[in-house]
Amino acid sequence: MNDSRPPGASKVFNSEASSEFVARPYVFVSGKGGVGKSLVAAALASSATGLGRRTLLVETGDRSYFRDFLSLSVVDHLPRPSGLGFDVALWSGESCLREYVLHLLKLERLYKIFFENKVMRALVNVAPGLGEIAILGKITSGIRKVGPPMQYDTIVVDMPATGHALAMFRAPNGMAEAIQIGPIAVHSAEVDRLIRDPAVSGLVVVSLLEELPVAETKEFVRTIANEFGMPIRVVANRKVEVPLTLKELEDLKASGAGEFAEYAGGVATQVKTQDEQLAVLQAEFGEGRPGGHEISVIPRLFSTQPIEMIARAEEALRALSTRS
Amino acid sequence: MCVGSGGVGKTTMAASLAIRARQLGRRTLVITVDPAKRLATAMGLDLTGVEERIVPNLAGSPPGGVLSAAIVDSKKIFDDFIISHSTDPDLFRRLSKNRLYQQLSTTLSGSQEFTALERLLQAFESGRFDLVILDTPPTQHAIDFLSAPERIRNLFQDTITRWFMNPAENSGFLGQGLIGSLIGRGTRVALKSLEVLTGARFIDELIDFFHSIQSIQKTLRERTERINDILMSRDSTFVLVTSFDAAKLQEAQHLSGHLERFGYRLGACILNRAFPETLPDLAKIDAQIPDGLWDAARRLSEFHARVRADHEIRFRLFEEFEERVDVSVAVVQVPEYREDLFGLEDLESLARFLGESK
Repeated sequence: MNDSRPPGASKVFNSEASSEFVARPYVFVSGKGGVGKSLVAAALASSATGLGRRTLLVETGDRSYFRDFLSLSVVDHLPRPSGLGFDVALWSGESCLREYVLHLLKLERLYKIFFENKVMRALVNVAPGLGEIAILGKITSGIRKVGPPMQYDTIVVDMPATGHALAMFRAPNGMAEAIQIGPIAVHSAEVDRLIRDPAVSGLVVVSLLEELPVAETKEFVRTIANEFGMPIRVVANRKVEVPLTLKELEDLKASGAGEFAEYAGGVATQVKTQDEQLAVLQAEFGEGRPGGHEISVIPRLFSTQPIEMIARAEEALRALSTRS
Repeated sequence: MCVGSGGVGKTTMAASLAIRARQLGRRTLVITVDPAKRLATAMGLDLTGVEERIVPNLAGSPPGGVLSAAIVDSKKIFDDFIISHSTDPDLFRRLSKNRLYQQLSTTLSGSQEFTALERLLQAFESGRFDLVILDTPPTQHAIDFLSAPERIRNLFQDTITRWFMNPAENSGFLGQGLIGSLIGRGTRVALKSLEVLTGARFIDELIDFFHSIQSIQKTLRERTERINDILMSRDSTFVLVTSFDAAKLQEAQHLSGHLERFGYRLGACILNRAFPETLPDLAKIDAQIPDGLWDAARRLSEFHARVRADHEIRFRLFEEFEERVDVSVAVVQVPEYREDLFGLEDLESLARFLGESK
């Protein structure tokens, strides 16, 4: 069933006829909490822009990270220029649902009754996955030709952390199976098909080179690959680059030079952990594996300048914007 | 209440605070919802399928105290809640088949927060502990945690449940019978719209759900109110955990303002991974460095200086943060550990560090 591409989907993608990972309509970015998803998402939006694609960077949720990070005055539902060549927008379940319901009900009056009603608000809060479906529905509305037209070739989505991201990807199919008839059921099935179409959607999973994030990354990637068959790239973020070899660090540790030796020992442990965890990711998802790919490694950036950080992350992620 | 956004080391801090309390001879329970089982791993415990477990082998802890750890099993707490608070023996069987209930008890946003707080309340009421520490669920934004019980409570409001009562007695759910007289025209139009959007089956599930939970809604509301009373009282204090990066600090600032506005007490702020330890000046210890390693030592010293300089930039961000949070808030800075904290021993030394901080 995954082969049945919806009308319009192949057209958008094939018009580019390229195989850069970011040159697809939808690039989702997720990972464990606190691993630096947003920086990776911004860098990928910048990469897509660099390929000449009209790009939108979408945040999901109620509060904008990029407003502070990029010092923008407003980030909300309406896409606005980020100052970096791509647009940025903040889409919440409620803002997307509002737009969707207005589109379906047509009448402003009905829509007002719907949303200004206390019962409805409570129902929207409890209805399983309705907000999630609305966000994915909004993201895919361009290809599905539903709602306000969207002029983007690539939408990079800064998704919630792994658990919530998985719930979000599962929501359309869950809804389609639960209600089966009616416009929401039909739309949910279309959204579900689009996120399962490898030419349309791809996922970038961000990890740190530490034991817990790597373990979570492994589980998340396996689950998504099994359930959705989405093309996936794994990115290791914040690798500390130490200008000493492991042997030098261990020799310094053994030198008995007090606190200095102790520090060398600590750094040696960190380097070893990083190497071990990178090896785990490579053994699981690296080039040597069937269907595997180069694992992009972003160094820990000693900077607080957003533009510089995005540029350096983009450089580290060039494999995702190069033809393979 | 240990609060903070995802990825800041909240679970580790909650565990260390609990160990500290045990070191001081308190009867302590630490509750986590951590799906990655970090607390269990760090404490060397298997917490699967048990209500709570005593943490053994805590060296140097005085007698009289105890340290227990528990993981919140959302589904089980919800199920037990229904079974123990319902007067209708058939209710649980009916509810467990309802898709909305399945969502509510597992994945619905707010359900994990609700069950964590219910677990906290049970521990509080048991009277078995001097201190209960809750490692709050990982939310994208820490503020989400505090609004979760409110979201659940709103769902169980009288006004809402009433609209869904006894629909079978009416000529259709949207008919003109009893329900027609209870609900306003606006709601009827809105529900009709919802039916158009989602189909009748979804509406049926909704009716079934609200009809079923009607008998426990009063208890549910009372429990959430009681939890809120406890959280507002002098018995509770919030510990804000944040990591040392600009975005997390900004968010911590939002959260501290939010806590203050709603009348919660912010007792301490733990700043995790704050600074790398100082390193002695190479010039002073050159006699200790073996000949062949001088160049390596110089590079290591430069590396350390770069990491430190990076932290100093962030220190300015932190100073801004410190100025804006309440002055009475104790700020504890936890150094950047170069290794993941993994075992009980690491946690014990972190506990001492926290305890010795003013």
